[in-house]
Amino acid sequence: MTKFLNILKIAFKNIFSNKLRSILTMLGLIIGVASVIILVGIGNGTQENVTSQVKSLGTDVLTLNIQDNDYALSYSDIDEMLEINNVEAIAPYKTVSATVKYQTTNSSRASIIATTDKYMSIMNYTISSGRLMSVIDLENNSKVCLLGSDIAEKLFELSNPVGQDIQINGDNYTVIGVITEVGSSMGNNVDDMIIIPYTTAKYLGSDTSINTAYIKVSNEDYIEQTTTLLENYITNKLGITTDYFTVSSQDSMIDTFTNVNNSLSILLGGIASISLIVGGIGVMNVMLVSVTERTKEIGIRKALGAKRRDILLQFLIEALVLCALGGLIGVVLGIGVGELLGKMGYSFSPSINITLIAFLSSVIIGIVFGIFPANKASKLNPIDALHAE
Amino acid sequence: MLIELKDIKKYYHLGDQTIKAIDDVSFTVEKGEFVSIIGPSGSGKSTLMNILGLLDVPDSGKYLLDGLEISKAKEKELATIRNKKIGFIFQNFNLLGKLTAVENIQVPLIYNNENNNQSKQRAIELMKKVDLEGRENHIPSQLSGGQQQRVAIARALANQPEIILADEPTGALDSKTSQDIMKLLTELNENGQTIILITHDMNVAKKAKRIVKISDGKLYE
Ligand SMILES: Nc1ncnc2c1ncn2[C@@H]1O[C@H](COP(=O)(O)OP(=O)(O)OP(=O)(O)O)[C@@H](O)[C@H]1O
Ligand SMILES: [Mg+2]
Repeated sequence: MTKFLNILKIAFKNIFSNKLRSILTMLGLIIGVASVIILVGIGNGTQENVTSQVKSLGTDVLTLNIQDNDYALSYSDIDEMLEINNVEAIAPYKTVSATVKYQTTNSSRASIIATTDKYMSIMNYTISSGRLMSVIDLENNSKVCLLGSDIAEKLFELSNPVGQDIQINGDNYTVIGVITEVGSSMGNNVDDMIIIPYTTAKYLGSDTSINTAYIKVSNEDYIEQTTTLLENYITNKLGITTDYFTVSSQDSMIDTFTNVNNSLSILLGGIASISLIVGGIGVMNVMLVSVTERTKEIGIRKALGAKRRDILLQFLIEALVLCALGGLIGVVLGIGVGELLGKMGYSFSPSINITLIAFLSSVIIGIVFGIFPANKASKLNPIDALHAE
Repeated sequence: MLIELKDIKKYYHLGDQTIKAIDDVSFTVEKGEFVSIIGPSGSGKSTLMNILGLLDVPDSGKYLLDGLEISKAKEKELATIRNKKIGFIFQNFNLLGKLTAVENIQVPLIYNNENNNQSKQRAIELMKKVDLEGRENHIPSQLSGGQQQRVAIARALANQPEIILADEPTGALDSKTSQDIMKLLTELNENGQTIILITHDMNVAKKAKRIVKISDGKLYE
């Protein structure tokens, strides 16, 4: 026990008496451990974030997306689709980029959502003041809009926007309501949105063809069945296979995202692990130099009765302490930088398992890469070691 | 009989030249003896000492230390014998530069599984014995040559070894300091410590009760 404590003491002494070298040696491991923690943490955070936001949409909503720009549904097809079993509501969805301005405020670019009166209820959005979009607004191509809470505040500060006119691409649009604060979703700030009637979008240079739509299913249990029915409808209608469009539930979107996110995490984690291994080679290199530098010390210790095991342990523990220390600094740095990134708006959720694994990896690397130099040191012949200088 | 060498040989081959560093040496030492081995440079003194101290192995011959045949001992046993039965004193002191005087003396004690307090206590006592009170926490570079050699002697004595092997212990010291060191060794021998000392200085050799001459790897009593 004393022997062991003594070995530990010597190890710390050597590491601290060579601070610069020790830190440079540990750097590879520090970066490796920290980046594993940060990358996986951000992956986790994004995953949790997306999952909760997609879930908040409700699991009874399907998203229709026609990826091929050559094909689109027409506005009147909505009525036909509403005939499909269990389809309760459909909101076509389109975004148009435009400049927005209110009286003297600077004009700024904004993404305008063109949709129908059903969108708000499908998305579970409510209004905090004013009124919702009506069927009449759609029929008349009315120049009216609903404002997200953030953009309302930006344009109107404290005054009431309802009934006021804002300029979208220079045209006047009357604000009919303000949407209750939602928070950000999938990296977009939903509270920055401006919603206009689908038919009104033609004034912004967009037609009424439909590429994207949200579909509410009346019974969650029939979601797969309904998906198939919708797919069949579109295949028949447009004469295209499901290679050209998707009808996806929130669950399947989460699955897709999880898959992408996992493979990304594995890739990034892999790259970070390589830096861990490179760090280990650095440790081995320095330990080999250390053995050469301390050959005389090894000789003296052997003359004083050190066994092979004593010398082996001494160098192994030194490598181990170096790596454990590097791992620890890496953990602290990784979580620190991660939390900082979290404050800057990235989603960061550190995983205890990965943190533990990263730390243990650096300890194992200490053993794996420390054993060779330590073994070399322990096998030195006492007389040759004593004669070294 | 504490030490018995029989027909020990150690040859070095350099190219087609053979250097007979130790050539058929037979030699015995009793408990409590103070032997000095004297010979010119290159005569094989250090080689003999390293064999006696189990740091080097002879090519052939038999070496009995305290009844144990060394050629049959395993590496681990050799380490234990070096630790417990032999105390080394080197010409260039060979202290560990980063450790304090006391920590240097503790090294063989800790390899002998003594705990920290015990070994520290013993090291402090030994510092007194070699007249170095107050220098306990100095590292070697803060000590004079004579003081360093005293620390080395204290370290050699740490595990109360059967035998002290001193290879030119005064070789790096001035004559006044040499006399002090020799006085210390003589005192140790008077208290029963077996000592083998190597030197090429007759004045130093004369302090021992028995003088053995070595030249070209051969011993002459
Ligand atoms: N490792 C070695 N390889 C080859 N020759 C060696 C080796 N070690 C010692 N020798 C030779 O063996 C002979 C004896 O050397 P040794 O060191 O024992 O002499 P010494 O009596 O201690 O000399 P000094 O008084 O100078 O220390 C010398 O000729 C030396 O050159
Ligand atoms: Mg010599």
